[in-house]
Amino acid sequence: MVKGLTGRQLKFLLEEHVEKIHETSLRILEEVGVKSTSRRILEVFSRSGMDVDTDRGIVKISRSYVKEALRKAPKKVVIHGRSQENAITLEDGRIYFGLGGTPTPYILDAESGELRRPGVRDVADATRLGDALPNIDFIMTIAGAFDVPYEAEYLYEWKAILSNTSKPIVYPAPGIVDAEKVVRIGKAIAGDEDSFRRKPMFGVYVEMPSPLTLHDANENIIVLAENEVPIVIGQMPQLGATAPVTFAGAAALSNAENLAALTLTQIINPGAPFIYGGYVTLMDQRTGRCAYGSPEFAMGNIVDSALASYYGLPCFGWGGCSDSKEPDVQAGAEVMMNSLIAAFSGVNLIHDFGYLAGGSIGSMEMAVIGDEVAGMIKRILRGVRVDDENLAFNVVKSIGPGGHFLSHPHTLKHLRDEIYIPEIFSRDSEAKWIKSGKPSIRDTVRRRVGEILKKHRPEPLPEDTQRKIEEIIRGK
Amino acid sequence: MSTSLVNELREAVLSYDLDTLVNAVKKSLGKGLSAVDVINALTIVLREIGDKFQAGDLFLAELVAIAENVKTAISEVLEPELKKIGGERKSLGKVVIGTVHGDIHDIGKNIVASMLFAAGFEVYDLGKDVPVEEFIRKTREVNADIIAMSALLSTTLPIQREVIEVLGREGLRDKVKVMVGGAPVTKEWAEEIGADGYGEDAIEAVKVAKTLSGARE
Repeated sequence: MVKGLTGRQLKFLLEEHVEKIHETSLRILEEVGVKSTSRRILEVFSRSGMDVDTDRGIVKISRSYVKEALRKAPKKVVIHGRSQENAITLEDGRIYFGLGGTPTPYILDAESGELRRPGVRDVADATRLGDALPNIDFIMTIAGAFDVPYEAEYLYEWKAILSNTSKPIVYPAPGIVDAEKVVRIGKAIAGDEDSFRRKPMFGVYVEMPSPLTLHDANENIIVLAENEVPIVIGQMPQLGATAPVTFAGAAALSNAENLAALTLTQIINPGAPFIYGGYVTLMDQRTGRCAYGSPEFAMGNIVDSALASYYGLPCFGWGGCSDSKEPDVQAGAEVMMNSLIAAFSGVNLIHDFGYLAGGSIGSMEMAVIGDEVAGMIKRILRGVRVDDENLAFNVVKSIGPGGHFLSHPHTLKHLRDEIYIPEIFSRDSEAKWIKSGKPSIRDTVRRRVGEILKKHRPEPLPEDTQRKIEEIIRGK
Repeated sequence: MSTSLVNELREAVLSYDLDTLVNAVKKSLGKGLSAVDVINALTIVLREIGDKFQAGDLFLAELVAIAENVKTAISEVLEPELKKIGGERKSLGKVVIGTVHGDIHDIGKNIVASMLFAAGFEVYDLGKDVPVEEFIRKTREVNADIIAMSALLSTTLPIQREVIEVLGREGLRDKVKVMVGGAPVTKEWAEEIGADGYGEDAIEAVKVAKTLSGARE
């Protein structure tokens, strides 16, 4: 069990503002409604007695249903991973950092420095890297399986990820077919259905298209809720594009979408684990791309966490990502900004570490840099402990004026807890730096990526389980 | 081309207000200018707008508003005017456009469709989540010059390749040019799948479409 540090120290929104956003979301659900292209989803709403216009595919959700869903949804969700020691508890502002997100069309090859299409092997390597990085708590991806038939891409990515980490996983499985297969894979790994339900080793990331739409691909919500797989919502309304350009309006829209998805899950299976993802993002006005390094993207975490905390739900946010194309000054600045804001907002799952070019490029180098940033942030969040042992009056008294604390037992005892020692950021003297050929941070990082990939062997999946997974992927 | 006409239309276009633009267009027609003159002046303004956007001085939301307003002014005021005198708008070519099957990310495609129309193309917008066969069917039906496809997801990019392959099997590949776009699409990807053109943004897409259709700037 990884005891996540508590963030939620940053509050930009007053309670009354959160309530106003909430109220606007309820009005959106009641007066505008949510559109679905899926008959199955509309049927679920309809069976529960909601106002469904089947011709237009619009369901209007009255506040009583939302209230009921909020009452039933669990306040705490645990994603276990394959090994219990890595389990993460999503509740009350505890923060965890995650490698990457959904698959990236490019990978920045750490060895050659070139951009190329990733394959299954890269997904496996990226996962191994994430498994080894000490401050990465859960795994998504910074690659993609472009060398398998695209219809089975996600499933082969799931296999590569599950085989290469025992940390908790969050990954997409759009549509009924992929969701059913992923659930079967989970059961095969857990050994039986009951163990999988009690201790899911992963959550499934579900993207709802904004504004206010539940697409056919979102039918996976039905399968996942039935099987009590944690559902992680990320619908990404973009300021001025798929949402109002004003932050409050986008937040209300995003919140309405989350409440609609939440209500759907709780109708299907009361108590089904749901992770709120009030994902307010931004479409860059010059390029049309989703701007992962923007201040607004970072700020989305604040709104996300404020609303999730208002409802007492666990939440999903983002950090550790950049719009730059390589690990450079821009990337460093953006990554520190968004991951620090996310952590201090108390977002439970902070994903996207290792993403460059707004999620188009996965970078192992950037993941390693992000891991260092995550380590620094975790240190800051551990804060200052104030008690007799930490105030250390007796230590000061024993050293007295003019002495030093370097070799004092108190120093040796607390050194490693109290001080963050960087893995890759250099604090060498300029003389040593010049003597060693003025290495850049990328030289250091590339070496570390190489070492980890050469040495790190995650706990393997038993061979018969691997065989079962392959059968499930290939079967109907 | 009268500079005052271009100036008046530019001002109206940059108001981002449809009524203002429609009134300016009607006023020009009232002064006895022909619909062809007005369309030509709008084309000049749009080219300037494209340059401004590419220089980073105009933003996407503004570009989209302009493209939509010009589209409406042309289709609702200028084209009917042309019809009255038995003419029609000079077409740069027919474009069948859509976001490929499995993908619903269509904002970029919509912008490109509006810009292509405003630039003088006949645009057949198939929408989003468009099956491969639908691209083929529509291309045949309207005898399209260009197919333009967008995709955003790693699982839907390969559909662009599939459409090109089916065009080949159906014996249509030589008859139609293929353009691809979308955030993860690059020049290399376009080359890899055998597309004829790729534009980094909507302005670039219009330029590429003009080149592919043999139209002059």
